[in-house]
Parts: sequence; C-alpha cells; structure tokens
Amino acid sequence: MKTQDMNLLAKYEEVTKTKASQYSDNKIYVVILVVVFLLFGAFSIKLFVDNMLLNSEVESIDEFVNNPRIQSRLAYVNSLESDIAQIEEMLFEVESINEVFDAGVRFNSVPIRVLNYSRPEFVEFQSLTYQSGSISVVISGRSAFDISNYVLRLERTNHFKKVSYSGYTYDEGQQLYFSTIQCVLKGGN
Amino acid sequence: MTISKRERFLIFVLILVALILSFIMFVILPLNQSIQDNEIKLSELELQQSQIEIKLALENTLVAKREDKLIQLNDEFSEIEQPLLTAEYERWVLPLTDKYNMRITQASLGDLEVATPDSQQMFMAEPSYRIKELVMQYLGDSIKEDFIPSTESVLLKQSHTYNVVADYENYLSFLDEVTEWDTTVYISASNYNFDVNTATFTFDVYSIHKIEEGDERDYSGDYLGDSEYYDPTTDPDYYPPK
Repeated sequence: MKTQDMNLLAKYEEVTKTKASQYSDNKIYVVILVVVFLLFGAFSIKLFVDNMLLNSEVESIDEFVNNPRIQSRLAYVNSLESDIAQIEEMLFEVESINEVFDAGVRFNSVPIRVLNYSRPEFVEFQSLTYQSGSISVVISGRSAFDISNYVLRLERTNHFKKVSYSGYTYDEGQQLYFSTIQCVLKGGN
Repeated sequence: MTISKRERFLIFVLILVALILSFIMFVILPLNQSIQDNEIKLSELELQQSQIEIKLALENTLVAKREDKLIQLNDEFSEIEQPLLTAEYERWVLPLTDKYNMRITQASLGDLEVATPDSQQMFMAEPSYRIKELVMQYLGDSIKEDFIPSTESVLLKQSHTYNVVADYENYLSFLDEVTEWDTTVYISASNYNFDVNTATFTFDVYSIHKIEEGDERDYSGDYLGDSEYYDPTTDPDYYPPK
C-alpha cells in the first residue's frame, strides 16, 4: 500500500537548502564583482593620478618654454647665432680676398731703380711697360753682350721672380742693338 | 520567475566581462593613451627645455664671440677700400699729378664692375721631366711649385687709365706715393716712354661694402689745383639767398 503522507519537514529543509545555496552563490558573485570593480577602479585611479602628474609636469615645462621672457631671450640668442654665422661667412670671403691682395704685386719705383742701377754702361732705356706683374723694358746697347750682361746682372739681384729675353736686333742706322727684357715681379711686397 | 544556477553563473560572467571591458574601453585605454601622449609631449618639451637652457647659458659667450668676430671682420674690411664715386677717386689722383708736375693728356674712367681680385702675379711653371725629377730626388731637393693664391670671392672693381706727360723722377715718385696709399688701389699697368717723357697708368680700384664705414676722406668743396680747395658751402655769395 502506497503511503500518502506528506513530509513537510523534508520539503522545508530542501527549499531552505536551495535558497541558502542560491544566496551563497550570489554573494560570491557580488564579492567577485566588487573586488574586480575595486581592482580596476584602483588601477584607473592610479592611471588618472599618473596622468595628472604628467599633465602638471607638461604644463610647468610648457610654461617655461613659452614664457615670453624666455622666448625673447631665445630669439636674441638665435639672432646672435645667425649674426655670427653671417659674420663668419663674410670673414671667410674677405679673408680669401685679402690673401690674394697680400700676395699681390705692388708696382712702385723699386724694381725700376733695380733695373736702372744694374744697367751696364752702354745700355740705355727706350721704354718701360708694366703689365700683369711683369716689367718689359726696351733697351739699346752698343754690343750684343751688353744685353746678356744686363740680363745676368738682373738675375743676380735676386729681385725678380724671373728675368728673360727672347733675342735682339741690330739697327744699322743707329748702330745699336735693341732688345726687350722681361722681368717678372715677386708678389707679397 | 526562477533562474537556474547555470543561468545565474552565465549572467555573472556576462556582467564581469562587461565590467572589465567597460573599464578597459572607457577608462584604462583612454587614460593610457593620454599618458603616452603626455609622455611624448613631456620628452619633447624636456628636450626643448634643455636646448633652451643650453642656448641661454651660451648667451654671454655668443655676445663675446660676435664682438670678437666683428672686430676681426672690421680689421679685414679695413684693408679694402669702400665703394667710391669716380669723381671721388679723382680726388686721390689729381692732387698727386699736381704735386709731381704731371700734365694729364687723357683720362679714361671705368664703371663699377664685379670682379675677382687679381694678385698681378705671373705664374711660373718650371719645365719638368723624368731625369730632372730623379736628379732632384737624388740630391734630396724638391721641385718648388709656384703658388699664387686665388679666390672665388668677388668684390667691386673700377679701372681708370691716365696718360700723362711727366719726367722720369716724378714718374717714379708718383708710383711710390700710390703704393703708400696702402689700400686696394693697384697700378695694374703702366708705361714710360723715355723719348717723349710720357707715361700711362692704369689703376685697378677694388672696393667693398662694409658693416662699419671707415675713416672717410674729405670730398667736400672743390679742388682748385696745386693742393688748393674751395668750399662753396661756406661762401655766402655762392648760393642764391633763401
């Protein structure tokens, strides 16, 4: 025979146990969620604080960099640098020009006086031309050796870079030898 | 409505994932990005700051350097004449021709042009060949190469030519006096004819624009010859009355 009795206590215990288990699970879930929230929240706050600190640092440096007084001093220093660069460029150009001038030939009376004092007795000047650092002097002499003697005398003075002549001619009418002597001047005088 | 345990768990996981993703998407990633941006900005600004500080620290040095360089430049500039009008240049030459009793028969005055400086030096190239080289080498001598400085830099140049009648001694004295000017006026060509006592001079006048003007010659008044000058600005009769 089948028993028709109801066991209410057993049922009550079963329901209570189920609910207790359900509440216990919910608690765990909530705790986990709260813990996760707190962890992420704390991390977010840390990031936020870091960001704020960085921001304030950026602002303070930005304030220094963009400070009108600093900017005007910087502009002045930049203009100094630009001035110096321009001066150095000019200096380079002018120095190279002056180097050329310093090594240049200045034509004055000295080489002519050397030509005159070295002249053998019977050698006479006809004309004298200076061009491009070289003196060409047209001379006359009584004999052919007057010309070569004169050139050797000039060579011995060591006053000229080079002394040369390319020949001579004899003029029957005047009974004189004519020649052109070229004397190249030294620079830097 | 009752929710099963499995459904509750799934809802929990869903909420957890949503929470984590929300944090990551809306808080952590933007903050992280902002931090990265700020770090880049900060490093740039720090670099900029250190550059500025270095530059500012150099201010006094740069001021001194500019002064030194300027003095050096002005010294170099002072060796070169500043640009002259042709008539101003004549004020250099004409008193000298008077002084040495020269009569100018012709003058040809050139315009300003841009030119490289000419040292008026003639380049001497010695002929060279193998045996000479070997002999020099044997004797321990070296072949001396002629060297003439040159430059690509340019400046202003005027060429003026004067034909004069002058005696020989005055011709020589004139040459010396031009040399004594000790500036960038060079006699680039000259000729003296002993038969007729005539001479020609070609002057190359090099000039340059300068930062600071040097001691300028006095070009005021009129030159009357024989070293005499007349200043019309001091003559009350010269100008019409105001």
